[in-house]
Amino acid sequence: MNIAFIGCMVMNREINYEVSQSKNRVRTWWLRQGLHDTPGILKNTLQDMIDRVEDYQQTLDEDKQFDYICLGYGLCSNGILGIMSRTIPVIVPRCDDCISLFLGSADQYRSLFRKYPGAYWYNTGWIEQAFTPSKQSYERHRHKYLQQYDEETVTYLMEKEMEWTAKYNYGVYIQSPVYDCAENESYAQEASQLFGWKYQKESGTRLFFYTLVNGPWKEADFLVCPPGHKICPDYSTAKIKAVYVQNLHKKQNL
Amino acid sequence: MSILDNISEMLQKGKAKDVQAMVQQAMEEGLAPKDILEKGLLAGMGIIGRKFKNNEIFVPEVLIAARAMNKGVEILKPRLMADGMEERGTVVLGAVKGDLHDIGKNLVKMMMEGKGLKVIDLGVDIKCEEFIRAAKENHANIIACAALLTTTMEEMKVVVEETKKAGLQDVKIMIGGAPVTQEYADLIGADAYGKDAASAADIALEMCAG
Repeated sequence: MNIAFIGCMVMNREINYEVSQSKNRVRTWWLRQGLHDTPGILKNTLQDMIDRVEDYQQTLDEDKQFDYICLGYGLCSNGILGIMSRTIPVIVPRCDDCISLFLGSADQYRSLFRKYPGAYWYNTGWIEQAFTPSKQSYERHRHKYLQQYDEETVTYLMEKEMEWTAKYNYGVYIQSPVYDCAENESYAQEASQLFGWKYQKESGTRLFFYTLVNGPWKEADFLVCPPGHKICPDYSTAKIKAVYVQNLHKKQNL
Repeated sequence: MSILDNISEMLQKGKAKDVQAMVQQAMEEGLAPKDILEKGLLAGMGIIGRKFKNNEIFVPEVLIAARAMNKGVEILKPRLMADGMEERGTVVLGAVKGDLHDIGKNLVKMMMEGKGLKVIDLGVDIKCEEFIRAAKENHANIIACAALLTTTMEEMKVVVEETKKAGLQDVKIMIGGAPVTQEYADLIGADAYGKDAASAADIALEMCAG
């Protein structure tokens, strides 16, 4: 089977590993990490990418055409709501965000969310691709602000920006099953110590990533959104559902 | 450009000292403190809230605008108190259980206080029973819940249900935060949804008046 995978760069090591081992032919498209901070932009970027994959599909020989588009996204601040493909089924994990994907299931995330109230999560993907709180990253912010603002304002901004760290209790590092990096683990440990958080380590699993690329996509864990249906909120542990879209030709109204 | 427009513009740029000076000047020119607050400071902060919601500006810009707002309010406060600013209602505000994010909530607080509402800010990670207790103790008109995460927004449903069970029929519930929508508010039976800080304050004021 041929799969078009569109995902967040945060999971590129895990997905690339699965792609290398998969019997499926998978082509990957990556979007930058952090789009969940601006859900509207995430939605537009993702929809644009799906549209481009569908256009690209028209140029492919029949045996190379994609059977499915798989999304490396959870709800991600509801940034995936309203997304649709006109011609290719879209597979979406049923979870809040990539923390569930790295942990292997939405249930595991819910359970650890309760076990570690006020947790900041670290792993290789976030450390490599995202802003993660640490001495080094805040020093970079401070330096950046100094180019723009006076010293007093920078001190104020840094105080405000770091205020939240006092409210958190745990720094949790998720160990990747495909890439062991002692340096990143030390980074999480040092940051946890700096902010006064209790350091914890949890094992990630390949389960969600493996299944996303290989299937089968069980109803409990994945939404199979048929062509001409858009992804809508479900407001239960199912998280999302597929809703048929009428007047498909009015693309701008979707 | 009027001095009130200038105040709004300087506030949006985060120029705290300029805002302070212009608020002082506006008072000396005889403008009503209430107008300086509403048409200058709050007007500017409302634009900041909307731009933040629409991803046109980001956290640092919001923080320095908030600082400028506070500096302006510091100067106005003695006059506002002397003029006997009437209290228009009481809101119990907080981020729901499990949610530790407060930038949006603090913006809402600022806008609500600016509209003359008394805000009991419970902070972040607030359990349902804490919202209810604070609403009872303070005879609140509104419980306002914020959530930034899809993981925690479900807690808002619990607050709606438990508030009804606690017999607080007169207390309205309003909700807001990045993942929250009007559709969700309708689904869980919340009385109102604030799509940004300024709208939340306007709606809260309407509900208190009505």
